[in-house]
Amino acid sequence: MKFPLWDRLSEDQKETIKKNWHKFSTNPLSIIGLCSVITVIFVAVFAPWLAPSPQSWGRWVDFSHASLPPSWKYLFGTDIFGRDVLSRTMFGFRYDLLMALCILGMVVLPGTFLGLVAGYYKETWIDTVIMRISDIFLSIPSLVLALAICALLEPSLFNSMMAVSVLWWPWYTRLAYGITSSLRNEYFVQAAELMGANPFSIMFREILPNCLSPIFTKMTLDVGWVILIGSTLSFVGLGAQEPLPALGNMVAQGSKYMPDYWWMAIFPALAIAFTILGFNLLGDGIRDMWAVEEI
Amino acid sequence: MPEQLIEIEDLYVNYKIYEGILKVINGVQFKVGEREKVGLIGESGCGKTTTMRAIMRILADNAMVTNGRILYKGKDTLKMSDDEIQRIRREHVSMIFQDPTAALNPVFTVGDQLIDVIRYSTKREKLTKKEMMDRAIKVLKDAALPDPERILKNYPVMLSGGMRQRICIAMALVSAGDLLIADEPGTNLDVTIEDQILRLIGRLVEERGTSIILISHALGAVKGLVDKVYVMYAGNMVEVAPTRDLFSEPLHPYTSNLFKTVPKLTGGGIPQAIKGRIPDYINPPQGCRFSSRCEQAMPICMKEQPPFMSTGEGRSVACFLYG
Amino acid sequence: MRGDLGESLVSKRPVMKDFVTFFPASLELVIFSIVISTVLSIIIGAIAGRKANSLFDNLVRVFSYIGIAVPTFVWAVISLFIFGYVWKVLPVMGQLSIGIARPPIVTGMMSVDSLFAGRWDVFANHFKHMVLPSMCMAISRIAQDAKILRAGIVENLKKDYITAAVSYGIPDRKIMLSYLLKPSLIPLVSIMGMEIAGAMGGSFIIETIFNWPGFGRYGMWAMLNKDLNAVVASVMLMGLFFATFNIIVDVIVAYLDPRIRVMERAK
Repeated sequence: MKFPLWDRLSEDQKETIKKNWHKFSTNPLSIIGLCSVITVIFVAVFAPWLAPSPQSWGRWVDFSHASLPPSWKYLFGTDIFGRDVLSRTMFGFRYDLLMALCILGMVVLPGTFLGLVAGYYKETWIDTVIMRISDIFLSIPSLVLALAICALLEPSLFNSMMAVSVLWWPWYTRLAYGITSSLRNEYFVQAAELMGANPFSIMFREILPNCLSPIFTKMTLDVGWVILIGSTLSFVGLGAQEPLPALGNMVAQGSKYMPDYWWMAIFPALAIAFTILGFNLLGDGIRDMWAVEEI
Repeated sequence: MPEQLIEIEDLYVNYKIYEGILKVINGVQFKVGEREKVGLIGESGCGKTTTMRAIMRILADNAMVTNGRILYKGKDTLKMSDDEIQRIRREHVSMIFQDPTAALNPVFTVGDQLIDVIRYSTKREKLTKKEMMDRAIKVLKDAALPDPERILKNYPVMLSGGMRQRICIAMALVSAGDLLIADEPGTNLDVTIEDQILRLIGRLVEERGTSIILISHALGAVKGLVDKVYVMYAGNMVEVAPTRDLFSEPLHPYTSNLFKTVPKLTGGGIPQAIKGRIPDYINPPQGCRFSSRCEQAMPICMKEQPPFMSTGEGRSVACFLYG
Repeated sequence: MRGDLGESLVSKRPVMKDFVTFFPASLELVIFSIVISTVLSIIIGAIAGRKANSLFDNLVRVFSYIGIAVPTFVWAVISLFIFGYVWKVLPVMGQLSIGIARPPIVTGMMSVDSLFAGRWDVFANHFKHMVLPSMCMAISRIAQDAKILRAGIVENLKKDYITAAVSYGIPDRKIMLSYLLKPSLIPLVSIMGMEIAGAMGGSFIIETIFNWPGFGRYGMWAMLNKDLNAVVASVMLMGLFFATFNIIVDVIVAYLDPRIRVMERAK
């Protein structure tokens, strides 16, 4: 199975890819993780076409079919408005993945950049300022801070994404800082300095490539954490609002009707667990494959 | 002939790793008598440490002994019960490990670890706490360590490499009734300190009358300390001889090549390294494992393994050149 | 720096007073859950590490993955379901069953107060109420810590100092319980700070679900009602508590690992 551009790679690169894939694929858990993640992404992207009842995602009611237990027609049952829980769950994946994508997208680049700068200018005021600020953010439990920020703003999906982004960047700063400061005094950096390269080119050309695998690994593992916090936020009502089918929301709504209408809460909860588990297994597999130790 | 202290017969040890099975030890014979000093030389990876660990049954979890016997005073250690082998470890045989920093637990003081060794080695004597402490101090002094009381309170990280090696020696002395196995003591240290350590070990062994198996790369040091020397290559004993005979007239091609690689200060140019590499343990060659690098290899060497045979006067060789 | 955190917009009382009233209940829950999680994770992690790749170990690994992946609120909802309706063996609401009088407040932590007052019945009842909330808080921590301890033990088993200890004839039990355990516990202790943080964060959710009158429920309520003073105060207090705890943990780690003491002195 060859992917496009295969022939453009050098022999060395092909060897490395083959070896890495072999390392990855011999761990069954990593393959399970990969498959789960692919499933979740596939379902999220193609939800409007896969869902048996696509109109269920939003403001729609069908009281004649409300509160039905799981059956062949409604595999996950229906909620109190008559909406198909399976379809809502499928759309729900969208919100969780969207959240992870946006947050990581917003956080990784600035966070890494700050870490590179702080590590390169180690022991100067730049280092102190950047790391102290990130320490402050890291010193408050993430969930508490996220809850607080969300509480101060209007509860919405967008605001909850902002809140989590604001507190997430220091993790990447710290990771990049650790790698940069340990490489700072290596000979290849000193050689580049002697040749007169400017600091930014050193940071990006020499040091950054060494950060890529730990950062990518951390990103994969972080998707799980972000979804965890995100679903907790929507569970308490500070995230996506009704009628958006964010999975945390659905659990919150459904738990009011436990135990009689158990399916309204249990299936979304399982969906959350499945997604997070998949990303965790995938992230562990990637970390083992690249033998990243900094995480 | 007096009963041998240790007699290894036809030992085979494999390691199971991810890529397959490493057939490391390939039929080893080895004998150490009472009060005898034996040297063991060979390059890294040839199986010296594995053989020694097999004696005390402290092989790694993925190691399997597939054949052979290791007789301690006539009894097979591989078949001993847990209690019996514990007795041996506590009172009769002990090992000085190669890397003293790795062999000492970093989160316990020297005193804690040494007294633990004493406590279990002298369980039958039922010493009091003070007696154990006294013995600890005495054995540290034997190992030429100054200010033993202070050292007992220190953590290994606070001490120098040479001191750590001496502490390991001290700990081994406590439980070495009959046999001390010294696995490249001092290799990781400064050459002058290594020399001191080797002299110390030589003196202690002489005083106590224990046997010793000295594994070392330092051919010169081995020469001065031991009665006979085994040469090992790729999991086989290839030669054994009384020290002087081995160095003056090596029989096995590997041994003679080995001596040629030692640089001499008396001129003669830059020595030649032995061509080739040690064989792959997963797919070892069928015949003699040195045959691919041997200048005197004959057709039979590639097909059959040469048996370790005596050539008289306390010498044995595993080579078809001699029978 | 007068310690005046302002007044709650909703309760109209100084936030500090609210804090003093409610915090001990949270502390009690957090302490209890930390104790449970530490004990259980050490036992589970140690056995799994020692018997690596056995059936027990594989079960533990599965449990670890699931425990980490499932959010705390899901555990809470599930336990509400099981113990509230299916198997009513543990209470799911509040600190004390209806009809039992509260003991006089000494520390604010009901378990301690009831012992001071000698009221065993109160203690027993309160204890039963503590079990579910603290277990929900503890599960994901047990999963994580057992995994870390297991990895530490598997790693340290290969070290030379363990082989050396075996070669001196030191018995297996002693090696396991002290030579192996102590170095393996160090990475665990050093993340203890983060664990407490997670616990305090989780307390917001758990206390709300189980209706536990602690600072978490207070803070959650403040957030949902836009009580800005209380929210800001809650966050600051959490931060302070967390920072203090981290310092304590650093001290403990330095005590356990002498290498750190030496490196600090060398600086």
